Amino acid sequence: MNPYVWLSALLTVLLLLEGTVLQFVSPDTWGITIQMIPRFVVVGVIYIALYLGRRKGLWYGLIFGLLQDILYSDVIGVYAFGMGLVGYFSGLAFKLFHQGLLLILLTMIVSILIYDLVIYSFFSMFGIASVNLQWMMMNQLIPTLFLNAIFAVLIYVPMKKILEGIELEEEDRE
Amino acid sequence: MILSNFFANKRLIVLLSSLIILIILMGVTLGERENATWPEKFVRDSMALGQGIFSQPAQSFSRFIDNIQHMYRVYEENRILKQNLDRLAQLSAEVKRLQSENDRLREMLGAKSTYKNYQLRFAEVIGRSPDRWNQVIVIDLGSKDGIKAGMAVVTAKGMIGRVQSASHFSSQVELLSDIERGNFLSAIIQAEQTVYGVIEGYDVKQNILIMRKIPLGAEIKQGETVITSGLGDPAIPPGIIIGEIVGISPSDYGLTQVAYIKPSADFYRLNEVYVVERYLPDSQHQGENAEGDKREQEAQAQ
Repeated sequence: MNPYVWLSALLTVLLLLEGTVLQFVSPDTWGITIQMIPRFVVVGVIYIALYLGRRKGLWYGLIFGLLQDILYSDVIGVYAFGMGLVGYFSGLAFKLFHQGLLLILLTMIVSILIYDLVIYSFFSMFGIASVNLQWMMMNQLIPTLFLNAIFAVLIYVPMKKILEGIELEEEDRE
Repeated sequence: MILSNFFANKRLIVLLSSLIILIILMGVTLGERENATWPEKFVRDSMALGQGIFSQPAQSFSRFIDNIQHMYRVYEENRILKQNLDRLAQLSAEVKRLQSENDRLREMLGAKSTYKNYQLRFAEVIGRSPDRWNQVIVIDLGSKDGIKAGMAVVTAKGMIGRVQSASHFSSQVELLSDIERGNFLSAIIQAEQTVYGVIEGYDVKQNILIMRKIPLGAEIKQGETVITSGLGDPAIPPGIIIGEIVGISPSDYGLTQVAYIKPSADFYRLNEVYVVERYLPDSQHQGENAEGDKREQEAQAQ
C-alpha cells in the first residue's frame, strides 16, 4: 500500500486522539488551572518534514491544519497557516543538523513554540484570545511544550523506522 | 530582468498565492456565519464517525472513575438525599398548587401563551477542541435530529452553551466560555426585583462569566442566582440556570454595574449534555391566542 496513505491515516488518528481521549485526561478536566494542549499532529508533521523534506512537511501541515480548522474552529485558515509554516521551516532547519534525538527534540520544542505563538497572535488579533502573553506563557505554553516533548520522545523510535523505510523506498524508486 | 526572474520562480509564486488565499479565507470566515458550507459539514460528519469510536471507551472509562469517586461518598450523600426527599414531597405539592393557580389566573386574564415550553434532547459529547482558544465541543446529534444553530445546550447543573453549527449527524457547540466576539446572552438576576443584564465576557484565569449593562440602581448581592431571560435569542427559553454571583463592581465609566458569575455547570467535565428545543409560541399556540382574543372581545361587548 502507498506509504503516504499510511502516514495520513496515522496523522488522522492523532488528530482524533487530540480531541477525544486526551480531553478526558487533560488537567483542566480535573480542576487544575494549567492547560496542557496536545499538539500531536504537529509533532507528526515535524517528523515528516525532518525525514521526508520540507515540501512534504508543508503539504501535510496545510492539509491537517485545515482539517483541524474545520473541525474545531469557526475561523478557517489559522491552524492551516501555522502548521504549514512549521512543517516547511522545520524541514528547512533540519538541513543544517545531522539526525539525532537531541537535535530532533530541540527542533520540536522550537517549532511547537513558534506554532503556538503564531496561533496565539492570530487569535488575539481577531479578538478571540483575551489573555495576555505572560499568563499564556506560564499557564499554557510551558506545560504544552513539556507534554509534546515527551510525546515526541515516545514516538521517536517507531516514527524513525516508518519514515526511514519510506525514505529508502523513495530512493530505490529513483 | 529581476521581474522575469521572479516570475520564473514558480514555487515562490505558488507559495505566495496560497498564502494570499489562506488570508482571504480567514477574512471571509471570521465573521458570524449562519450556516456552515457543505464541505465543512461533510468533513465534520465524517470525522464525527471517528470521534465517536475514540470517545466511547474514553467516556466509559471516565464514568468508571466517577463511579468509584461516588462510591466513597455514597453513605453521606444518601443521608442528605433522604432529608431532601422529605422536603421534595412538600415542595412538589406546593409547585402543583401554584401551577394550577397560575393556570387558573392566566385563564381568567385570557393571557397569551407562556413562552416557556421546551423539550430536552439527550446528546453525547464526542469531541472537544484540543486547544483552549476555541471552546467548542462536538455532540452526536445533527440536523437530522432537528438540531438547529442557536439552540441552548445544558447539563443537569445549568447552561453550558449554544449550538454553533449543525451538520447532518453532528453539531458543534460553542461553550459559554467562548462568549467573546459579540455572542451575547441576555440574562436575569433573581434579586428581590428582577434585574436584567447581558453576559458578554469570560475570564479564563478564574473561570468566571462577566455580566454587564446592569442598571446602577439595581440592588444585587453575592450568591444570587442568574438565569436566562429568554429575550433576544428566540431559541433560548427563559429560566435556565447559568450560575451565581460571586462579585460586583461598577463598570469602567461608572454608569452601570458589572457582576461576576460563577457558572453552575462545569465546562470541562462534559459527558452527557441536553439540547434545549424550544416550542416557539407562534406555531404552537396560535389557537390559544385566538381564543384569548375572542374572550377579550366578548368581555368588551358585555
